[in-house]
Amino acid sequence: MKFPGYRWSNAIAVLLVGLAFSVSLYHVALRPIRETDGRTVLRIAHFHLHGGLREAYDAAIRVYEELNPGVSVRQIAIPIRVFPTWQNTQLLGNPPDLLIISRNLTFEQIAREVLPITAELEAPNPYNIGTELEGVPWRETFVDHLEGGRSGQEFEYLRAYFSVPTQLQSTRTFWNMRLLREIVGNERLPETYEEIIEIFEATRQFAADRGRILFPIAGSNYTVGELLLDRLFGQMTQRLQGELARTVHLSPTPADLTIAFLLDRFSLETPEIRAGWELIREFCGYMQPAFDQANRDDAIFLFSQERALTVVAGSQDIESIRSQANFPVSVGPLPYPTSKHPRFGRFVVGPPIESADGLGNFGVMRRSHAPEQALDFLKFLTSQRAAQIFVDVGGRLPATRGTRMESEILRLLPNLVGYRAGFSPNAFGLESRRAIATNLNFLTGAQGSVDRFVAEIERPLRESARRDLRLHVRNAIQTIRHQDVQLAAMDRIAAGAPDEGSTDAAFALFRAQNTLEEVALRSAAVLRGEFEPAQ
Amino acid sequence: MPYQSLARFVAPLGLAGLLGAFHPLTASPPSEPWSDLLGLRFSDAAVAFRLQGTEDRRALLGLGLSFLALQPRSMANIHRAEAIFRQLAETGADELAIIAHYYLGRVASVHRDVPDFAEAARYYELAIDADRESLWAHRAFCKLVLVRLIHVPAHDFARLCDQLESRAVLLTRPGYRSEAFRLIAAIGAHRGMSPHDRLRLMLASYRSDPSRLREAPFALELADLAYDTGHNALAREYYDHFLRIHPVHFARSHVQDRLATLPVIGESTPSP
Repeated sequence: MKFPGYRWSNAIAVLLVGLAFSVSLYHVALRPIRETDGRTVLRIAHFHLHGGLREAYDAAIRVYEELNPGVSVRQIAIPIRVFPTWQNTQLLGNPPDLLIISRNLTFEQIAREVLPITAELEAPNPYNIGTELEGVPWRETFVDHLEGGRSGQEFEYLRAYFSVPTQLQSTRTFWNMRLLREIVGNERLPETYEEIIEIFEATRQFAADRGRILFPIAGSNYTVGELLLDRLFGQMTQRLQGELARTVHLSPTPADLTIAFLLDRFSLETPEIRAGWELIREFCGYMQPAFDQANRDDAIFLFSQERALTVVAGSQDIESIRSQANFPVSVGPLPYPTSKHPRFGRFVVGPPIESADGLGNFGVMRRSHAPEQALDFLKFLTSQRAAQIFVDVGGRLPATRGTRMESEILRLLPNLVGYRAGFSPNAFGLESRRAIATNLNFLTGAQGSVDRFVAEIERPLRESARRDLRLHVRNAIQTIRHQDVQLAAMDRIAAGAPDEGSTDAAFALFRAQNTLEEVALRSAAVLRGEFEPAQ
Repeated sequence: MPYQSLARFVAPLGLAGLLGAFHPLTASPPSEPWSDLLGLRFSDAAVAFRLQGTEDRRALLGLGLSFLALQPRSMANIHRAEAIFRQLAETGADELAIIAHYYLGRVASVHRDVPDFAEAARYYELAIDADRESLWAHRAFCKLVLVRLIHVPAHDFARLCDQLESRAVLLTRPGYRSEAFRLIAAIGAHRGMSPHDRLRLMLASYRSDPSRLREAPFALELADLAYDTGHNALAREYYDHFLRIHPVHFARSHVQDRLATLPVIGESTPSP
């Protein structure tokens, strides 16, 4: 029997709508904040789906739940591609208790949504009792004392810490040791740019002699961005950066670098910058054709097929590279030119220090239904015990000091001793990155050259740099506006209940605002053509 | 037909459910509005300040600040905030009037779409003149340094620096005096001020508030300026201090290299 007007499509539509309604209802009203057995439920959201990581979280959660029988922790693992969208919808609605602080979150969103933990960081982490970190302030239990990376940036910007890293990220070369031995007769990994180029030349010869399709390095847009433009290029501008900064030791902000470019304090023909382009052209010559169209996964696939001797990837990729490769894999350093290099050496100050970039920076959400419990879990997650679980189960780089690691993982640790890295025009901002990427074929293509690239990119880069500077100003002014309101609120609250701490915090915020405002007003004046650098 | 009717009935419910998933379950109850402002919950704060009534000058200030930050931002709200600050500034001679002048300066310099720095400077001066001891007068002076020194023509820069430096000396709150000197030096670095003058200002900043040496950028700038101007003993002192309190920092190797080039003992250090 059929109803009049009955159609299957209508039934499916009704079912879909009903399903959407049920899911929404669950999200809005029925999502448990307590288990039926009365335990508090904490939700931790991240995008760590790499091999072994979810298992590491599970293992850490099990230990925490044993230590805290009244708490149940649930991890929400969202694929990285959809994470920004998912995160934004959560921020509009009912966010998790702990959220991974990705680069998609602005400083303003962080200040609004995440609880500051500055004061807590100066007290010891109770979960480190019985270890060498017992009694050490929580902040100093991290390998970089939170002076760099995402937490350090937040602090510089907002004068408060909002998140802490659970693991670190580094970029490294991964080597096919079987091929390396076949090509050069030993398994010694190159330490410098000079050594890696020697091996690359030998690889080319090896492939030509045997008629094999084998490239020295599996390239990708990641290799160009992460290795070449962000790191190797930076080695060429270490000195220049010191000259552009207010004093030799201070790091210029992206806005300061952009201003320096727009005011012709350096150009694309400045020897340091030109050396950077030359370095990129030389290095890209060892990659497979159309490398700039490939992504990191494509490059790893090429490497795992033994079509490339080495690949550049992040420390978080180590497990997936090992699982895909049917050959022994070793981790090597990034190949920086030394001061002895005949062409590039004169620009080098020394081996660059690597920022201890936190890959899993977590913050406690202001709207958590159990913020104290969430903070307690975060302390556990960054304790030496949990860090060891992440190393043992997930093969991750620990952000916490004193964790035991196998030798391959040790090689992934960021180099925290060395000299400040320089910059490339990529540092101006997203628009400039795009302009460089779309014109890169003029530099690295068969018909390309440094001269041609510089001629082609001069105008688009200048226009992009202006757009980037405009964006810096807009973002800074937005933050400054909110800080204005927060300052008055802090003052009023402190006046109601005199508290030296909040007065100090207001003063710190005021100084941070001044620093930001000085750059923003100066940048805006540059854009209007009204800034006169000197008489 | 029944399915179609059912679909028509359920679809809006489903849509409402979906939308609901992305919004808070309930509006937050009116809480302490200053805490709402601090937590950037501007609309909650505005509602709560309104409830307190316009007779209460503090609530009025809070309402003005809420308008300044309400999202989505609109010029109508900025104008409302401005009107409230103007009312507060013109109808009293208390601290709230000084704060209102300060915020009129802020509106003119950063909250309007088209800033008017001359107008901002006028309001900051009014805040300073109202009561030089006030915290907000001190804040206004720092903001005055920013808007005036960044926008003054190059030929007038040095004269204005001298004038603002001599006024900064008179600030009674050490932290803000320190900040004012630091700001003059920071802007001076981009406007051709000599390293000697910048060192003098940074030392004045440090002496006003020695605790600032705990900040890595401050310590590094002071040490570098001392090094660049040949004040070796000072450079050594500040570099040593930096290495002591920042055991992990990207500048450590640079600093160690510089320390190695400094004469160890017995050199004379001219007073900056």
